Amino acid sequence: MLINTVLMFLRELLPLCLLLATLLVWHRSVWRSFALYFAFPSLLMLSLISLQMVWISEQLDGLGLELLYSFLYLSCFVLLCLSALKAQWALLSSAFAAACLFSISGSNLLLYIWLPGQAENTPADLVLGSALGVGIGASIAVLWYYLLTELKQWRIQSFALLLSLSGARQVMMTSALLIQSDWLVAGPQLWQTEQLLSEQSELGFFLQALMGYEATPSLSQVLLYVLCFTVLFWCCSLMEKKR
Amino acid sequence: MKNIELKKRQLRKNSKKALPITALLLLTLPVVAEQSVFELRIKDHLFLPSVLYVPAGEKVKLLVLNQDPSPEEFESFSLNREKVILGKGKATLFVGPLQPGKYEFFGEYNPDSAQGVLIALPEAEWLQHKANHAY
Repeated sequence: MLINTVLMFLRELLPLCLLLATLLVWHRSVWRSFALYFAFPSLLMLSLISLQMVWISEQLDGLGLELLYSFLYLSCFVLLCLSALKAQWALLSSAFAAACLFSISGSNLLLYIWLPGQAENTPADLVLGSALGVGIGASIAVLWYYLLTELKQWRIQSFALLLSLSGARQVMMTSALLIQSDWLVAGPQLWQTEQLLSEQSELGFFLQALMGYEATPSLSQVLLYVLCFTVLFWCCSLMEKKR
Repeated sequence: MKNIELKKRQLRKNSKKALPITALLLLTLPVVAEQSVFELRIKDHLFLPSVLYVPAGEKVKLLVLNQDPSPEEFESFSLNREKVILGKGKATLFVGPLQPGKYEFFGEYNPDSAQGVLIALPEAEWLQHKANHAY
């Protein structure tokens, strides 16, 4: 129970922590406004999704939740592109992008925390597991923040590259959800790197959270990933040129 | 006359450019073919049946019925699928076309008890399996 809780929290929070750290490096000087713009829509969307989760999940032949999550992941990517393209909207749209990801992770975690019987049976494990999960996630985010700050000073393109990878990860998640809902054709599996780098390994887990690492990607996933990575990287390059 | 010729050439050029775009768009269109449906139940934090046979090489629809009051998350790394099924709820997910082999899955909220394996059988074995289990 304890290990399961730690893993659940890490799995949900690590991608969010990494994205938040990346965006905080970007909006370092206005981090208070960023936090404010992030907090309000996050809480609003989280409350709406959590309160209506049963209704949402029953929509569209039981695919409502997947389609909503894929929409939120895709919105996160689009908002990141928008923030790179339009300097005057950068703060607001990147905060909204992080809020989209928060609402997905938050609703999954709330569902796990409030599993019937969970809190009554093993409250200590739940509290300790959540604290450990949040702590590990936050620690990685802090390290990531300082690493990115250094990288940004050394070579600005490296920041654009990592932000683009993070954005493309959200599209990878969208495509996975759409494929399992049969809304997107997967195409043939392109490669199999499970033996080389398992998604369950520490590095695989980290790369999944950072850039959407997939050991067995399909053709449509790779095509979408490459396309969206290129678009976001191009948007980031334009942003640098404007400066 | 020249204008018409020019327009035709332009059209031919454009159609060549449009070919990869059309191919990409076709790739993203939902499949309308009939799919086999397989039912999987969750009861007392166990998957029933814990071994599910499906045909290899074709897309199949999994209908997961959660008979427990608590939610469960269907998770499979090898199938690349994860899906939350609310308490007393049902969920649909599509897998495949799969290579023949074993694909493990588990319940993320109860990983110690909720475990199962999906076995994709080649055509001949699948027909044999179907014949053996025809009621």
